[in-house]
Amino acid sequence: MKKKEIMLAAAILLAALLLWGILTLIKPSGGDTLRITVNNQLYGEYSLKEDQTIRIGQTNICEIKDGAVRMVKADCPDHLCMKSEAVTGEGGTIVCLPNRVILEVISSNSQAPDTVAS
Amino acid sequence: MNRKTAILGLCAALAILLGYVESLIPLFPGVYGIKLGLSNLMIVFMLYLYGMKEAFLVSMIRVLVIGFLFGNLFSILFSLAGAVGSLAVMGLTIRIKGMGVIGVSLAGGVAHNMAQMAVAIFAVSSFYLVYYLPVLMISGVITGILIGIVSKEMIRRLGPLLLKEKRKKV
Amino acid sequence: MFSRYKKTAVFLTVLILALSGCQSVSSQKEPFVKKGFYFDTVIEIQVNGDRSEEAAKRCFEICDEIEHTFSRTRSDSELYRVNHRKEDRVQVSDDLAYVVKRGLEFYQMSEGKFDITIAPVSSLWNFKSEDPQIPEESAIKEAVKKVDASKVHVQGNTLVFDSSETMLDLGALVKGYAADKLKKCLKEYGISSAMINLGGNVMTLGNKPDGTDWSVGIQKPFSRRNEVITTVKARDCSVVSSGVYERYFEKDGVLYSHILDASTGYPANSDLWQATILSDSSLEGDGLSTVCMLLGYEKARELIDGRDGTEAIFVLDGGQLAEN
Repeated sequence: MKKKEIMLAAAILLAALLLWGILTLIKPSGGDTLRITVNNQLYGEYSLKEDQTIRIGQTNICEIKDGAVRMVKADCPDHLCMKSEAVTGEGGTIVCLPNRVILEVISSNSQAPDTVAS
Repeated sequence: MNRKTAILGLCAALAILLGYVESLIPLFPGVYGIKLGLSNLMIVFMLYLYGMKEAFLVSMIRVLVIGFLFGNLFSILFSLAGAVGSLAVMGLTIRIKGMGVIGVSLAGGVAHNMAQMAVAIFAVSSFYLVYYLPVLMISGVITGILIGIVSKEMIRRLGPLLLKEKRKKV
Repeated sequence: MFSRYKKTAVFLTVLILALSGCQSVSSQKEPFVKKGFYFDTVIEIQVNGDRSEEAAKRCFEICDEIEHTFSRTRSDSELYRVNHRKEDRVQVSDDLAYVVKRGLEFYQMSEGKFDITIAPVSSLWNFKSEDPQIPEESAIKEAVKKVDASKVHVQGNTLVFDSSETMLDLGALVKGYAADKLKKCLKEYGISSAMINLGGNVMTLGNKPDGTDWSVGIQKPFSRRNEVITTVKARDCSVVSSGVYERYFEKDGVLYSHILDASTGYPANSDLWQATILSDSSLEGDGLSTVCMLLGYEKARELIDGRDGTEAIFVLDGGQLAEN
């Protein structure tokens, strides 16, 4: 390999390591994440810190506001998911059974139990 | 002219074939986005043999044919971003003095991954994917170098042969 | 010339193979988690160890089979066939016969309040509706007459009905039965660490992979989902809660919960908000938790005290925690 090529490769690797370092530094304070799965497939993961509205396919819309997640729109008949309590960093799930959408908060709190009986 | 058309066609076909071959090799099973980028072999080859315009042509044919045959609209968009991103960066890198085939290929590999990541972040509007970026950058360097090594040999051995108007008897 | 690149190429190939090797090794240590939609709810299975994926897949097949047997609405289910029987004697599978038999035990235990023939009453109450209504008193009285589990008898694999009107609803027990079956299945696969959550019915197998006990939170009544009132350590243990907060509506300041008393046809007039049963068998936990809700705190305590290996955690109306 030529000198400049090695320099380029090294520069990119360094940048990647730097980026990785920065990201892992930010991550803990990023805290709780919302994981959305549709039909058992991961749809996306989102930080609870950022207020945003997320469109889930054609069927559902959920909203992150002040660290809590709510389902704001669903085209299913019973709208149980929209009536569900908002989920916060305490962990928890909102499920839209007809559309097979699961909103799940992965708590960064290590005190949280492995699962909850209800 | 005819000869060049034939070579372009041949290379486009090879690029498509390599894309298919690649889908058969499970390099990192389950790890999304890490690919060898075998078809980039042909794009780098075109870039050196002819230039930007021809490389772009072959690249587009590859993306569209593979996309319409095996993919959907989203996967076409996804590959298109990677193809255009990597070609643009390779076109710039090739002008840097002292930069060889391997350098161009690795720059292209990394650019390809980053462009696709940008589309993915936009598509699922999840910034979370950024955490995956360093992995893709490093994998882009490694696969880029590998592809670069092979490309270099290809250009050295095959290039003069194809460019000659008439093949001499050996 | 080429040999120099060859060395680099070989090195990089080895590197990639090594990296991908690491990937598969580390992914084996990760628990295998699978979610699915069964029994009208979300179920989650977390399995650790070798063959975890295989075992979890089999678990989902079992859920599918159980759902197929016990669904009251699917016209191809075994229960549907029983409920739409032409004769008073029906041959049934081991699964169905066993759950009915256990259901009749809970009927005895609960002084007739827990009744697997409650369907005529429960279909009057719609807790899912946008604007739930209290059914007409006369309709409830009429429906209660049709509810009587003492008219059902289990003789081996034969169900004998004294009345052609009697319909079975095993929904209150099917999740518990499923959890028991899944645990048995996981054990057969040699799994020593797993956690099953069937829509709130928790069953654990062994310890967590790190050797510590599974911790199971217990839902705080009328609070946000997954806000826990207490957490229990559960090793090889079923944790099942039943509570008025799960499904209810309010009318004129009165809370109408989905826990219906078969003897009156109305929601249980209980001094409990929630009963959680810790036991070996989840079917037992499923049945007992509802029975406790129906009996009220004092009688529930007596019932649980008399049973070895079963513990209960009660939440009284008002929200105080009481363990027995």
